[in-house]
Amino acid sequence: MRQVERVENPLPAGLRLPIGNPALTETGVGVACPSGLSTIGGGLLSGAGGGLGVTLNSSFPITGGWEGDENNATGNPANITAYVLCAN
Amino acid sequence: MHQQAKILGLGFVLVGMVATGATTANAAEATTTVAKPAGYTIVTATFDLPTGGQTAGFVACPIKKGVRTVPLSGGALIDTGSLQANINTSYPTSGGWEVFANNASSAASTFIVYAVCVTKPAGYLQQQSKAVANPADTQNGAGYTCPKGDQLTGGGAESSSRSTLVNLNSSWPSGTSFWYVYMNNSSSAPATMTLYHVCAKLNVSKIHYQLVSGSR
Repeated sequence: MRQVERVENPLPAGLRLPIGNPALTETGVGVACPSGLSTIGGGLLSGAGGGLGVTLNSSFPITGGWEGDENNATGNPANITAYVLCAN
Repeated sequence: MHQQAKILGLGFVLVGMVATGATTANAAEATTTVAKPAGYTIVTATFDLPTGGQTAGFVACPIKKGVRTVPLSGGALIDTGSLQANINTSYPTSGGWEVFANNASSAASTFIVYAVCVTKPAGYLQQQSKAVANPADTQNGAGYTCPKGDQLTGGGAESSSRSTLVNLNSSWPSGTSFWYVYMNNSSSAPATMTLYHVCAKLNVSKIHYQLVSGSR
């Protein structure tokens, strides 16, 4: 069961480009900053199908982007999107 | 199955030691000519991750010109393809980044804690929310907004539970002022989660500041 304590713009329009994460699979994802900008923050959003068996294995900064891995220990497909905050 | 290699594009130069209690620790700086915030460094520390439990790891921001830099964001990389290893907690402290990693698998591993550190910017602010309920057998979501006019630089969440059945499902910047978290509690005991965000008054009329999402 997914409970929502408080929702304020959880999914900005035009900012969600998930990739699939098949059942019983760990999938990596990454997103890059525009040229000339440095990573200052970031994270991962598990999307449709994300139940208690979908977890963040990793979420971390790299030079010029953000990367991570999502575990999908369920029998259903899930998806994952990476976000990065960039600045100079 | 591990679909994609860890660290897709890591291109750091290792320049120093900045953590205590870690098996290894490094400060890393980009080698390109990309403009960076003052004092910018990505620091890391590596920790053993034994089987059947939860392990804490911390990396400190380095001291530059006699002053400790501050964390804008951070995270962790768990070096295993096991579906039973995940992040329980990831949040900023005053001088670095703290992570609790779960390993419910039968194989020992390691994990790396990361922090993006800079010279303290104008209006730098770390805040933590009140504890939010995370009932047993439930995934709970909550968000935390920066003060008006501030820009979000990072965030995370701390779980009250030391169970390997409690872990992050999602933790991400859902806009330029709003951090959001979904926390799984697959255990039979109720828990709570505390949200954190890091905000600053960045001079966006003079610098570029942007949120990008996607995948590759």
